Amino acid sequence: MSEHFEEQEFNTDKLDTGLWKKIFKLLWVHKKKLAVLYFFMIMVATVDVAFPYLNKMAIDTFISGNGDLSQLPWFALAYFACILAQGINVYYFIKQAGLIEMDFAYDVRNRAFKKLQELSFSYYDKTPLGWIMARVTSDIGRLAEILSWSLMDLVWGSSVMIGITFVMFSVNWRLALLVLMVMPVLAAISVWFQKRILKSYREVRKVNSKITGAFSEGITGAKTTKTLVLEEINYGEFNALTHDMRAQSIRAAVLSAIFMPIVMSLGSISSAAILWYGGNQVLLGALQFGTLMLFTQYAGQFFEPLRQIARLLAEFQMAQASAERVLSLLSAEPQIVDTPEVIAKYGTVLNPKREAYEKIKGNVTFDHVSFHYNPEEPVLRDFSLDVTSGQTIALVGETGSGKSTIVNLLCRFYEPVSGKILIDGVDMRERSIGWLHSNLGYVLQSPHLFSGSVRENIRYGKLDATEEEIVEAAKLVNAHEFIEKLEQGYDTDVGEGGGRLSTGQKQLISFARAVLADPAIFVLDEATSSIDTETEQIIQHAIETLLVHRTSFIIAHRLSTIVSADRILVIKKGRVVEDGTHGELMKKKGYYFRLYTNQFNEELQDKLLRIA
Amino acid sequence: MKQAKFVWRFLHGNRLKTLGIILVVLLYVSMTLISPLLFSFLIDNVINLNPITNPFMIAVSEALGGVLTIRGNLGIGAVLLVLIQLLIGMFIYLRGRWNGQVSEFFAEKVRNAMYEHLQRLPYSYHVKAKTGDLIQRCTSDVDTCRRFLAGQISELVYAVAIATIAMSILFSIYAPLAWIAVVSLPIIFLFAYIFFKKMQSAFQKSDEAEGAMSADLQENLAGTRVVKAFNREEYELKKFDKKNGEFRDLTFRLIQLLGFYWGFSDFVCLLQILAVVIFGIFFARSGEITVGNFFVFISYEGMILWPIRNVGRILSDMGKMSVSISRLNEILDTPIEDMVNGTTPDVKGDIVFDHVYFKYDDGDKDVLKDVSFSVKQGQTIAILGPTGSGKSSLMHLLTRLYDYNAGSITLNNHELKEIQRHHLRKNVGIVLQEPFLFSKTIFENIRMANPKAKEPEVLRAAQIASVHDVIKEFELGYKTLVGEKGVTLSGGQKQRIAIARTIINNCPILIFDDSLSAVDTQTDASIRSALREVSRGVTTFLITHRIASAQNADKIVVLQDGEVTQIGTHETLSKEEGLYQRIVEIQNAMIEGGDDE
Repeated sequence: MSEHFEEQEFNTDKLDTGLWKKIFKLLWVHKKKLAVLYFFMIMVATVDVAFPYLNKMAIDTFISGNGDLSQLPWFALAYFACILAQGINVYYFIKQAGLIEMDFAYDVRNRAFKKLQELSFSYYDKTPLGWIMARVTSDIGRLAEILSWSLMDLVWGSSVMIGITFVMFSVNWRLALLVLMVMPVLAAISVWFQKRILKSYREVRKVNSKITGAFSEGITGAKTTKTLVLEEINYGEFNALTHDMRAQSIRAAVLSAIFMPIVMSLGSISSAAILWYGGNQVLLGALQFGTLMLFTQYAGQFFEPLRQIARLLAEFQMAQASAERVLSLLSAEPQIVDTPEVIAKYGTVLNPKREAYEKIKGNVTFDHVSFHYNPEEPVLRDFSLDVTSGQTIALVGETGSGKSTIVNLLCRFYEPVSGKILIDGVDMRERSIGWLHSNLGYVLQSPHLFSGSVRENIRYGKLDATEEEIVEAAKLVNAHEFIEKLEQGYDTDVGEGGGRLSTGQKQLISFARAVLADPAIFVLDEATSSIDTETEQIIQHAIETLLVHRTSFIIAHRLSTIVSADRILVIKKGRVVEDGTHGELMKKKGYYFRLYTNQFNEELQDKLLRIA
Repeated sequence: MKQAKFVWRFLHGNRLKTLGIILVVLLYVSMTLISPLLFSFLIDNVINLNPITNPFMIAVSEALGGVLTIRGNLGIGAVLLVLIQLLIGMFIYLRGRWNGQVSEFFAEKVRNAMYEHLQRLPYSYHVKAKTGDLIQRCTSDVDTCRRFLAGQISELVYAVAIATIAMSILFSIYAPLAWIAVVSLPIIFLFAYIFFKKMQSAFQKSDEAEGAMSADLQENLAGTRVVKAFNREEYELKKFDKKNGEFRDLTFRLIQLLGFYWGFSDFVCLLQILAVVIFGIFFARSGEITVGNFFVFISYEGMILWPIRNVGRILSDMGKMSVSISRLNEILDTPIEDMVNGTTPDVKGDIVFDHVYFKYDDGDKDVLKDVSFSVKQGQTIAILGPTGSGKSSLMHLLTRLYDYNAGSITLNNHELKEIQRHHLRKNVGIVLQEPFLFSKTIFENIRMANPKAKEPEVLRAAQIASVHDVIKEFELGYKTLVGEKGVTLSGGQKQRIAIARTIINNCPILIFDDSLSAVDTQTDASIRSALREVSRGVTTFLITHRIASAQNADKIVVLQDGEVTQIGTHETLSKEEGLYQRIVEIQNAMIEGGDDE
């Protein structure tokens, strides 16, 4: 997916007006701030144009002309006014551009984040996390920068160019033409170069992100690298990357190094022409010194805005890819949405009407449910299941049998392709996603903790939980003891993604978190795989007491954790092949029996022999 | 001083070029300053026919055929102007090119050094390391140094040179006006310097706020399941909004301060120009200076002011670079693991633990206490014990990821501590609890540790690890990419690929650090039996929670709180009172409990 998008970056040679229209719509919210910004920018340009003219006056009127000194205070005052105005202008335009940049980025980031919260699981399955991260952080940042600062430069640049042209023509049209003579060539060269320069820097950035990736992998994989003695192999590969980086960067640097001299030399032709022609005019007495000086200054000043505008055009072209990707994120449609009626009644996930939430009992029915992730590989076919409130259901089967899918459907991470799922007799889709999830507890195989303290992580299950409730939840799953032993107890920082804790500890905390949520429906997805047998045993008892009044679904590979379930469903290729208690299924001597006996093979053989 | 040493070290191979940059900048400065002088010459001496006072200029004008010739052919002046500009262009080009080369070679060397050093830092370093922080040092800190070399050094030289030369020329033209022209320079310089010095913390805060925002986003995305399942979207949005808003506010404040700086310093600089203009008018009218001089003063004033303002900024930026360098040095100064020294005996697989004690450097409690047992070549040893009992630490000692504090461990009578780490790790294969796969194809991942392995060997390793069938089902088979751009593998699949990767090396000693925990029991059993087939004579350690996995072992070691509490076989330990028996009973109780229903 990410590769696909990378390719797009280079296919955008034309400006896509439709795309930018949509982006400008996002910017339009800030129109008042923009108006203020552009006002100050035009002021800056005006003063920029005025200064050389004032200098010309100084020479022509007061020096060469030996003009009336009584006018000098007025001249000084005008000059000072311009200076003061410029100081104030500069402060305000920077402040204003910063305001627009930050407000725009803030708005769009919040929008994107909101969208991300609404998007369904299928989106996350298809889209790499790094891709999303880059959109929300750097792409939005780049857009905000361009829409504030670069657009501002455009206003400034055109104002300065218009201003200078105007003043020059009104002073001396022949010299004005001499200055403007080389401009078309300069413009063409600038556009040509700026495009290539930006492109080459983009290449550099690409290699750079590869280097960042390599560092990240080198650091996170360092432990593995050691155990497998891969240091030299990795270093060799890394060397190739940095070598590439250097070559690309130098290419980019040389390209920009050659651009300025070419342009300056061309510009000097214009200055030389002015000097030649203008100098002779001065000799003839047809022109004043100050005017000659004015034009040489303007000739130099004309180039900067031109370069800025050329750079800007190239920037817009390059930023198009960013714009496209940000828009694609903002316009992504969640596949699982509540109907307007449901939203009217229960509110949305981000704006729930909790008072309308019905109390849940916990009866779950799968009614002829079929499901597939892609049409060629059906996962569930015509799957039906009735679970009464309070039952504990264990799902058993090989990887890919469809166990996780059943749980995903129950959590409404996905929706059935056909058939329906009823909760307390009502189609899930007739109630809101928020309602379902607020009644659900979920513990994952690879538990995900958020950075912050242990306490905060447990509290995630119930945001208004009291200290006692938190401790109680921790005690219930036997996490209290180890938490107390941590350096700062419940205040211990778990680190990024819980990285400072062992997998088992993370699981216990995620367990406490789910317990605190006090859900009517519990889902345990391989919840106990990394906890040692004794701890697991303790948790097992906690779970059992905890699950009494709850409907629960347990997925575990270790059969020992599910023998006490009310019902064990053996799933094979998306169908229930066996259904019953442990005892019943053992007597059946079917798939479950084989699966189970395999685990305790020798022990069980022994036992069975003795019974016989 | 350390900073200078750092720069000097990594400039190796480019030191002459760095000198070249300085030279070119000086030439560039001289040419830039000549242009206004040429103009002034043309105005005063050629057009206004003032007598030439400067002996050098007399010589130049004589060489060109005398003032009158030039007056008749102003084209000569024009051509000179273009020539000067061409020279300036050439110097600018050389400066840009060399700047690029020097800084990029420098950055490449630093990056390589960082990467290599990080790889060679000991295991204990990586256990505690904060990935994000390290990556930031290796990327943005390196970049800070690179940027300094890429532009700021030559800018500094440029500013200092142009200010000194321009000022001395101005003073030689007319000192009183020159004094007026430089009066505000110290103020501008100090203002810029102090301002950016003070701003550093504001810059840092803004960076940190951005980092916090990204981290929040990252966690939210990684934990989508948890967020959705707990219905915490609203809460997450609020949390993100707060971080997002903090970043906006801090950065906006920063920009506002910058606006103040630019506005105010522009004001002061322009006032300085006004002062020169006004006084210049007076001096010109009284005949102290010529029109051409006036032109030179105004042109030079602009050339001096902006670079001086920049110098203040660059100098305060140097502080940033020195912080970056010390952050990099912090890593480079951390001692690396000694991979080279030590003996390289034949490793077979007889191992003796003799009263081994171990504690972590930063811990005060022994993690392993008085551990003694012995292993014969080809035996399978199961290690059981509660979480935190020291099982993994014990295994880490065997590959010298850590070294024991007291007692001894011998490998075929060779003291472990004396064996070269590189050699040892080539012979002791360990599969970590949470193995890391590289973002390469599955095939490359398995072959990584043994690049000489042929395809059949890779497939065989995958078959033994019971992962061959899984891989074949992927669309691209063994060519499937692992990680973000490829497939997301389940924990069990990762573990099995990691096992394949480890066993491809045919090590005489194999360690499985709970590396089958995410694999279902059936697969677990088939992997173990496949291993038994192919690895006769290989000493195997199994850390496990499963009795079923342990019971076939030749020896079972029970660890509790860092001490060996039981050693035996399944037969003997089942009958002995203790942890092992309790675990067996628990698992048996489940079987019976199930049967009774």
